Amino acid sequence: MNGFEQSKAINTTQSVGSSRSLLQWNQRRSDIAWAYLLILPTILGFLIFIAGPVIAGLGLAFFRYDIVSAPKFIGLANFERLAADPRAMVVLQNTVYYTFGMVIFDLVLAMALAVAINSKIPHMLKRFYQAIFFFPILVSGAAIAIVWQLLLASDIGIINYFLGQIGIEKIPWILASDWVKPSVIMVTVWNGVGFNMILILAGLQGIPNYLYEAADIDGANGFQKFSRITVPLLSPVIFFIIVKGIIGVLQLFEAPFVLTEGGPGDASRTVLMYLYESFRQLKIGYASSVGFVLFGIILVITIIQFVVSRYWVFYDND
Amino acid sequence: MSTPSDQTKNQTLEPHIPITRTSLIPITFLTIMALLMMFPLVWMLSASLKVPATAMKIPPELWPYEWRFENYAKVMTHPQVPLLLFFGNSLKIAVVVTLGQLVTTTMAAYAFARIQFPARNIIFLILLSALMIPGQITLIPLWILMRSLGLIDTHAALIIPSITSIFGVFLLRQFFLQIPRELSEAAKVDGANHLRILVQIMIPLVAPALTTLAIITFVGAWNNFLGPLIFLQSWENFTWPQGIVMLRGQYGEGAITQQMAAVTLGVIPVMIFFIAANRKIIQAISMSSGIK
Repeated sequence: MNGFEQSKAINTTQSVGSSRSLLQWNQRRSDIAWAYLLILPTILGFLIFIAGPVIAGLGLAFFRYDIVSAPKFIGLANFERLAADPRAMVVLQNTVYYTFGMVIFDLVLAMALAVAINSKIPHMLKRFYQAIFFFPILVSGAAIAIVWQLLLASDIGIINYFLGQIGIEKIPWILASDWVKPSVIMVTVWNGVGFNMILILAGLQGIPNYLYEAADIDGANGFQKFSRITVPLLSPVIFFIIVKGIIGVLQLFEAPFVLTEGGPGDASRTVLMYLYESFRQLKIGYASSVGFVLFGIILVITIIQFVVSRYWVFYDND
Repeated sequence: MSTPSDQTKNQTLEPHIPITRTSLIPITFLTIMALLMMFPLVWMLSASLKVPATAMKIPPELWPYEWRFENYAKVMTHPQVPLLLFFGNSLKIAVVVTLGQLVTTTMAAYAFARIQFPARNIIFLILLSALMIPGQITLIPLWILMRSLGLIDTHAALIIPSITSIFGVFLLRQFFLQIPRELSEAAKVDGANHLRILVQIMIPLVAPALTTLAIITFVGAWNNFLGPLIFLQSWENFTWPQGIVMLRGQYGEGAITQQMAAVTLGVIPVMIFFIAANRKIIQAISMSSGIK
């Protein structure tokens, strides 16, 4: 390549003349100009559509605003109302339930699938199964919830039919408060487990074989190999999945909205649904305070997770 | 799924793994799970083709006795729910968002990966932190912003905030970082400025990544439900997920089969992209996790 050889020639030349450094200086200024120009749209997008709204959203929590009249500063009144609202309590409990149920279920299932795919099975099967479990990620959550609604129908749903065939009584999946949350979890995990599976698979493939071979020599059984080698080496991925999962629980909306509209009562209502409801009622300030509290909770939980991670997440370079 | 050319290519690199007795355990497990995962989609497809009266018959018939393709025609020409219009709206939004993101993310990813400039790392870190922010915080202020701009109930309200994507920048940057420096050095010596380097050299090299990002972005915009729910008011602006939920309010004969037909139609573009590029998408996600 002509340019390549030329650049090598220039770099090996001994000249250190002032004309060369002026050229470099101009080149660098042009570089910097280019760089800022190239990142400008993204930076603008970030400032206008992310940073700005986040700050505004946090600030709005201290106001009463209903669109028709101007925002009115009311200090902590929204938060007091939030703390006293029994429905908000229910939504909070739901969120805790969803967090534990969904994150753990998703993680365990993704791990099981990834380990199974990563085992000694033909490559064609690996790719085939990978594709099958990944595909649901691309399916619209709202649309597939409509399908699920029919599948989970108590009397005419096909799932209860099959359960009946093996002697289990009909389950009121989306009608009974005891069952709506598990149903939402099931539908949402169906949609999302493939993603975590891919992440874990990537992590598994990064674990060198000689570690397992050495363990075999030492007489380790499958479970020991898994808990002493696989899990620690996967801990960065697991950590990432848990953090992402908790953040994801707060964005849970489509499945419960379409399946049960938050019901019965508030049994399956999520934070985002509650916020949406306040928004629809034009209680902008109140809705913002819900968002504020949640943002705070996530921030605290995430920080705690990062701090605690030092004790169980094992990075290669330690 | 692997194509024949994929298979032959890999057979030369990877030793063939036979099915052994021990491998039957994972295979059985995976097969059962695969059946469970595919079941809702298969049922959706089969229900969409059934004779309306038999859609929810007990005991259920999995394989439709007669195939009624006209369910699809009926739902597309539904008198109360203009599905074609909704699909068109979704398509328009998805295409514009995807093109916009391709342009802005490529530009920014290249700069972050290939140009040294002051505060580069700090800026990038700040942008990354935005990925961790749950979307709910920004929804309401964004709505207020759009309202003050008079953009509520327009597709612009959905498109403009999505023209840039920090995730996309992150993803593409990973790919740009892998291109050897010598290529851009050589071009610089030949007198090319950054724009030329970017367009003529870099982009062709990361084309697979661009395709992948395009697909991920398109699918995300295509499936978006909460956004349209918040920003759109008049039903003629609605997107297809909203349309499908509207369909649910319709009763009468054929309602279920038509609903399933409509959902299938919404899933088909995604399926096409998936079959075309699933390995690349999976690869891109594995790469972007960049955990180590």
